[in-house]
Amino acid sequence: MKTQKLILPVAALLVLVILGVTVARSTVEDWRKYQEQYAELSMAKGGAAGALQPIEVKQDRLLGFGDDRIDRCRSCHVAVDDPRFVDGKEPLKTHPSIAPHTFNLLGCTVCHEGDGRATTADLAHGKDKFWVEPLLTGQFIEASCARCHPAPYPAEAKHLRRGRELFEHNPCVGCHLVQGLSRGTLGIELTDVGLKRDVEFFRKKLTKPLFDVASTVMPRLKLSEQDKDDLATFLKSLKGRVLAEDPMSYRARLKAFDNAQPPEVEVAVEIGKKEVESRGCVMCHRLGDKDGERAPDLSFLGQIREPAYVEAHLAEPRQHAPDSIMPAFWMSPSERKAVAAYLTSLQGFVKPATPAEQYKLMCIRCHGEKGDGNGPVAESLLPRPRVFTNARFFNWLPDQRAYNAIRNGVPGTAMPAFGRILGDEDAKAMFAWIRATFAPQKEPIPPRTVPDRNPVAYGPDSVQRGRRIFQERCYGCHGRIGNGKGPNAPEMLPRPRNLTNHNFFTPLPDTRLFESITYGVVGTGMPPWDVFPDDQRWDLVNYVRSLSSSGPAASERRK
Amino acid sequence: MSIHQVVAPANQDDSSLRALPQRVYRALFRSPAIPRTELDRSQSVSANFFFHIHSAKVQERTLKFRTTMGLGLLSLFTFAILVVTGVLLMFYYVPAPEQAYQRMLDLRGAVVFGGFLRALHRWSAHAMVALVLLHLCRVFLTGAHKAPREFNWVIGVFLLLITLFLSFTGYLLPWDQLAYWAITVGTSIASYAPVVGQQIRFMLLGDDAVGREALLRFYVLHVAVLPGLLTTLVGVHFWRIRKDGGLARPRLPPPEVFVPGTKPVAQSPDAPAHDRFPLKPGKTYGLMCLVPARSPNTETEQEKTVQSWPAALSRELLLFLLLLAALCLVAIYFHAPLEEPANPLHPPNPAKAPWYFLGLQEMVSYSAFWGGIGIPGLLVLLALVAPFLERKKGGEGVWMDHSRAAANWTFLILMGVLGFLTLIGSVFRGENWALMVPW
Amino acid sequence: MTTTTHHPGAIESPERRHFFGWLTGGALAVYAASTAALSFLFLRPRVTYGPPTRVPIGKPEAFASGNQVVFPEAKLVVRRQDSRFAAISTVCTHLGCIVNPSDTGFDCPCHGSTYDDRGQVTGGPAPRGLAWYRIVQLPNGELVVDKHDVVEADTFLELRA
Repeated sequence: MKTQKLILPVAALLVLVILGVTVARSTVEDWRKYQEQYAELSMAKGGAAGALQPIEVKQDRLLGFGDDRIDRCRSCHVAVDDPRFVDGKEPLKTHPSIAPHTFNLLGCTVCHEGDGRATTADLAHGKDKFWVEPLLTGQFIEASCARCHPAPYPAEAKHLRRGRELFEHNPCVGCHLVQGLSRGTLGIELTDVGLKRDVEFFRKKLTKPLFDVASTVMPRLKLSEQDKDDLATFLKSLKGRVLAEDPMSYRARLKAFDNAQPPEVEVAVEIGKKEVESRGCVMCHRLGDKDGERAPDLSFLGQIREPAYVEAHLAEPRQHAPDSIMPAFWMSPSERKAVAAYLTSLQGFVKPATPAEQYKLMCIRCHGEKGDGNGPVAESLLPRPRVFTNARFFNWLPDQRAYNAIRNGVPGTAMPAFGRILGDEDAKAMFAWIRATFAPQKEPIPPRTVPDRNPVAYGPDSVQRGRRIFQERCYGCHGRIGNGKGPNAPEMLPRPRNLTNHNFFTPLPDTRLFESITYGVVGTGMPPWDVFPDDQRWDLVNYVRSLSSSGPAASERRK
Repeated sequence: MSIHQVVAPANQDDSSLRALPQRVYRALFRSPAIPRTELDRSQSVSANFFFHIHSAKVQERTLKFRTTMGLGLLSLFTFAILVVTGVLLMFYYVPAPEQAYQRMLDLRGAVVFGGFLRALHRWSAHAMVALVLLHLCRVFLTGAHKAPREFNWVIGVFLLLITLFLSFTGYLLPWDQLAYWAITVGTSIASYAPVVGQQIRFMLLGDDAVGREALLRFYVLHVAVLPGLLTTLVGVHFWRIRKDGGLARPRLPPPEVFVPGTKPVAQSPDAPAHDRFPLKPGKTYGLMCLVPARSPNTETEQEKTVQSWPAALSRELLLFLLLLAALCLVAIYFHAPLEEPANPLHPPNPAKAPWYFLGLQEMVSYSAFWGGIGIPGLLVLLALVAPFLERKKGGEGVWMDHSRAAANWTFLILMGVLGFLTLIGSVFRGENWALMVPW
Repeated sequence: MTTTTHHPGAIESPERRHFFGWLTGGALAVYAASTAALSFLFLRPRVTYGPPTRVPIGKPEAFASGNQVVFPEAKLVVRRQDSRFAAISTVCTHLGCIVNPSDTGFDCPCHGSTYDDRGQVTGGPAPRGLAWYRIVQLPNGELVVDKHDVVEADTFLELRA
């Protein structure tokens, strides 16, 4: 019992000590310290007014002003509207003039964000990783101007204005949807992205879109640091409906925007040029001396594409290449005609003499300097540019196919027809050079026997049989809906073929499909499927026809 | 006038003014403040409303740490701390989605001791679940659930379920992402119960999804219904302990009955009650000679009792103080978490239930019905009938007695498996509930 | 029999005593049961304050063919293919998290369930596919998704002209 007699008073004293620690930690608060300092300094600077204020948690209450806010920032930042503290040390420092705004009316977090209800520096400044509105500093504070001052923003908000300009006059508006501002559907909706993400996220995303996701269609853009800062400022200001607009005007504005029609213009080359310049096509394409390095070279487009093609492409790029990431811009038919007229007027390309030089000027951008399919533009294209160093592929590829590809292009992909620049002999010479440089033919190809026509008639039964086989054996790479995005696809290069690619499959005969299924495509992940009997393979061919609405299935094509 | 005179038994007919303090004291308290005699000590306990749940005397073995490790008492004290801190928090908290999170922020930033009290409340809650579980283990492993204490064990199982439910309902109240999605997952598991599952979920949530109705309902359950239920059952639980004769203790050889003039005869424990007459020092019924020697008592173990006041009560006070100190220290140095405000459109990845349900969630990731309802239901059922399954006598009050090896090892293995699953769920599961290594 | 003293108004016969005992007990039991049932009915919500289960999604013209439109608050996606409309739930059938549309269908961030384009389960612990809802067209042309009317997968609303 003796130990017990001792331990009880010790425990009681321990509890008392802990109580003391609790009290100490809870009552020694930074804001008291700062308010006391302020009182002292205020007295020293002459003026007893500051010293008469009680030491307490100071609140600015914003009620009836959008969402209710209570800001306690001035418990530490006591001196923000005391002009004597211009040279003070934070937090006792005068705030730069924000007239006619006043702290009593606005508080602090309306502009600076952060956690207004907190009373410690770390939490108030939003350093808690769970606080969704970290403190804005420097130019990013301008993002908050948009809360009350709708576009066009005040002149003082320079970075915000520039950010918006960058957004509006670049392809951002083509991919992203911002209610009342843009109509894109390829990318994520950004109408209220400022509520969901912070400035740091925007900068990282603009630098490297893949930093937080496994796959994205957003290209890595060439932006200067200032560009990224300004865009981040603008994006942070996107909060859906802000205080500046009441619900009715907001709805009216959005409705007007949705119902608007793109303006009709004169179909002239100069107009087309202006359009191109104001839409920032060079963010991705190459034109003149500007190059975004993410999309094909348009400098000599008139020599490789027809105006009708360009017009159609501007209306909906995916009708030509289903996996294109080019946005469909909001343009009127006449605008498209004007742009097509301008771009197809560009025919200044002079073909150099040797295949090596021709390759450098026409092919490197996609196929890469080393012929490895890794040109600067390659990561934006799907299907990716052919890899010339893929020896196994080029070993079996018949030369005629390559000539056709060079002269006529490969429909359904980004490979254009170079036939007007390279004649028959040039194409042969080019391919010979490619073979010699990157893909010498090494091994003899075993002979292939391919029937000369499809014995199985196209019809619902054959398609059904083909579907069953496909969903068991093929979907892993080609995907459940045959678009080449099956579970295995991300690990394969080249990617599995998109079997719904109407333009690609239309010119191909059934026998070519049969050949690919039977012998596989050597040099790619497509293995030979001769394990199936012939008629099953023809059923698969018919199923692919129905997937791509090509050949006998062309009449089923829905636009 | 010294303190002893004030509290000394007064002459109640003395109507002089001098006697007034004594009379006031005697009106309030029926026993002296500092009892000196055994009788007074017994009175302090049995005549006091708050203390008289104790018996006047307790077994000495009750006071030893290794007998029970004080787990039951610690659970009770944690509950008391939770009630006090909870009531204090209730003065600042509003159970409405628009206000709950803001109120939590205010507690953290603007209320003196706000963060501390909230942390104390939260860590005490976790501690209570852990202590109740440990108490359950201790009771089972010492066979203290066997006859005649089966019903007390059943009450204990219900107390455990209520404790878990209390913790679950409280979890939602901060209305942050952690709270919202943990409860979404938890109530979805409940909906897998056959027949009544969807109904139960609808009643609990007051809606098809977690929203303002759910918050209000959980709040009412958490501050009124469940604490009331728990307090009542705890009362019954303690009452039962008293009526069952205190803590379970090992059976001893049957007592000898001494009839003067005959030889002592060992008596079977099955003899009718009025024939079983163990000799006890204080309960001598025959006329004995007075000799300067010790009484012939054979059950020295059983007779080792001490007065509750001060031995048991001071022990309890010590336990309480140590518990309070430990919890306060944890509350000072570890802040209660507050994540982003609840966003019904954006589940975090992964969304995890509180730790005591993580074993369940791990099982649920294989099969929602078996993991969430089937196996836990079977386990609870097993727990409820466990004391009735062990019909053989023996092994009570002894840690890991050999005679109960099968039961003990089954129990330990089951607990081990549950602990293992909890570990996997908490540490080795990451995004999309995929297995991962945390280092 | 022992003598019984007579008290005015006292019930003498044991059968009558039993009867009244049973009557009282029965009445009280019924009362208790009814109180429990009425409390249950009181607590069972009759109106809910959450998002509505019949979700208006706009006029058919607002949807482009071949596209999928996400309705986050209503937790569903609406698809249009020419004149056919479909509405698919985005609530994971495992434990209720919201699934994200992906290249190949839908992915759930909570426990890794994956679904294909038609909402059928392709992986993870989800027990069944995503629910398809019935879409109806009101007389004024608006489309409404009825979340209480779950239909089989591949059930479309066909609009004529």
